[in-house]
Amino acid sequence: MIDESLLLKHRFFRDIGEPLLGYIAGCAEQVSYPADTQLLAQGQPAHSMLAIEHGKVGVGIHVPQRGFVTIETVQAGEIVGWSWLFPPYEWSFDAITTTDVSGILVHAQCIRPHLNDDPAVGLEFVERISKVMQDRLHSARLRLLDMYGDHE
Amino acid sequence: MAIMSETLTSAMTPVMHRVISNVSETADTATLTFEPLNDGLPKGEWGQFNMIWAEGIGEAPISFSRVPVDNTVVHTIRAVGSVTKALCALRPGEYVGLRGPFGAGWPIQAARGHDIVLVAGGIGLAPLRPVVHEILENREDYDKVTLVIGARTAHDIPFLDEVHRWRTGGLLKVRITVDQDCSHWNGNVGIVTNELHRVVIDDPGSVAMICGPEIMMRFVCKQLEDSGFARDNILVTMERNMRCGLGLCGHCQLGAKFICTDGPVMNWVDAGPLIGVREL
Ligand SMILES: Cc1cc2nc3c(=O)[nH]c(=O)nc-3n(C[C@H](O)[C@H](O)[C@H](O)COP(=O)(O)OP(=O)(O)OC[C@H]3O[C@@H](n4cnc5c(N)ncnc54)[C@H](O)[C@@H]3O)c2cc1C
Repeated sequence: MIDESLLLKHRFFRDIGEPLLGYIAGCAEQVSYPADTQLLAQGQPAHSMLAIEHGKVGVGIHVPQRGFVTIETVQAGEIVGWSWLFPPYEWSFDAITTTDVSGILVHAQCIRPHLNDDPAVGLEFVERISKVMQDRLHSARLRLLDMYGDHE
Repeated sequence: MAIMSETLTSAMTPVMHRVISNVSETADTATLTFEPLNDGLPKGEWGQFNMIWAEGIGEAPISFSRVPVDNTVVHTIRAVGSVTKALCALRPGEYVGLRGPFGAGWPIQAARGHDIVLVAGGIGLAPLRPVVHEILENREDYDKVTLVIGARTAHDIPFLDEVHRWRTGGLLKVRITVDQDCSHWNGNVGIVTNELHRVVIDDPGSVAMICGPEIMMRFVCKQLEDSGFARDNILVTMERNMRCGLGLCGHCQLGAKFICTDGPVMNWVDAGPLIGVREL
């Protein structure tokens, strides 16, 4: 349980209304991790969402012979982890803190029933997550273009 | 008429220069310094360019990567085709022909007193480097300055040592992001627009200067507009194939504009409606 005013300071939760704000505050805690902490592991149960307040997290994957390859760096004001919203509720990627990180952790098992029970609340939350997904998809598409490459 | 054709002939005649150094920046990019054999060219400004002639091969427009302080001229060139590959392969003591300086550059002094956001994609840092030099030399004239650099990988960032000095010097905020992670890279991975999203912009008179691939500039400018930048405070440098550099041959025509004389630096009011038009 954390204070609602703390949530509202984070870009992801900004302008969020009641009752969703109260539900999230009731399911959240403040956390901090040192650099190089593995936060998510591909294939493991997806149990939470981290809203980063300070620091950076690398979302990526372990590639044989290369080690951990970062696909995207996620920073303050942004969120890590949405696989807990969709079956089979498993992480699709790994995530490792690249600096000391502090943030707000929202527990999936606690918030999910609220989202399921009240469709309006569920929709409001999913709309926010969808915006994040839209931005990441946009970013992935631009990177697929290989903008800086040769264009023979 | 005789005077005009004389001026034209001299603007079309390359002035011979000797290569005095060739420093490799990345696998395909080099910074070359030239000195004139006799009288040099008039001094160029931020964002202007010279036409560089590789003997027996052809000419390419290349921006100044340092504003001339003496009679030497500095250009940073990415080897993409026949002319630029020949230029990057030049050794000290070899010769090129230079014509210029041409075009409208960055109106940097008009940005005095304001926040400045510079966005460079890959080799696009070269034409912006003189702007950074000007800001650092007259730092008190400008407000908050942020340089956002995007590149394909960390190995594709030119002027890496200098960028590191800017970053640690504390006079401007430098944010770097790469599209693809590679070994020994501890910095950010992600698209340049994401990094720009993280820049806090609160001065309504903020000025943005952008140089990079056209597709990058399109998305960057859209984002800057959405975040409140005035369209005439968003400046881009346009690239089109060029021949004369004088607004005569029409090679670089974009709508009613000639990039070589109306540009290459243009504001988003002028460049925006043209940049996304497929036929242009
Ligand atoms: C005003 C201006 C300033 C420039 N400044 C620099 C600079 O500082 N450093 C630098 O490395 N390059 C710069 N360029 C781009 C450079 O002029 C081109 O890369 C060069 O003309 C390519 O010639 P080439 O014979 O080597 O390649 P070509 O064989 O002509 O072409 C090889 C590839 O490059 C593309 N290409 C050719 N010309 C251009 C062009 N003008 N713009 C975009 N793509 C092109 C072609 O489509 C082709 O895919 C600038 C261009 C302009 C118009």
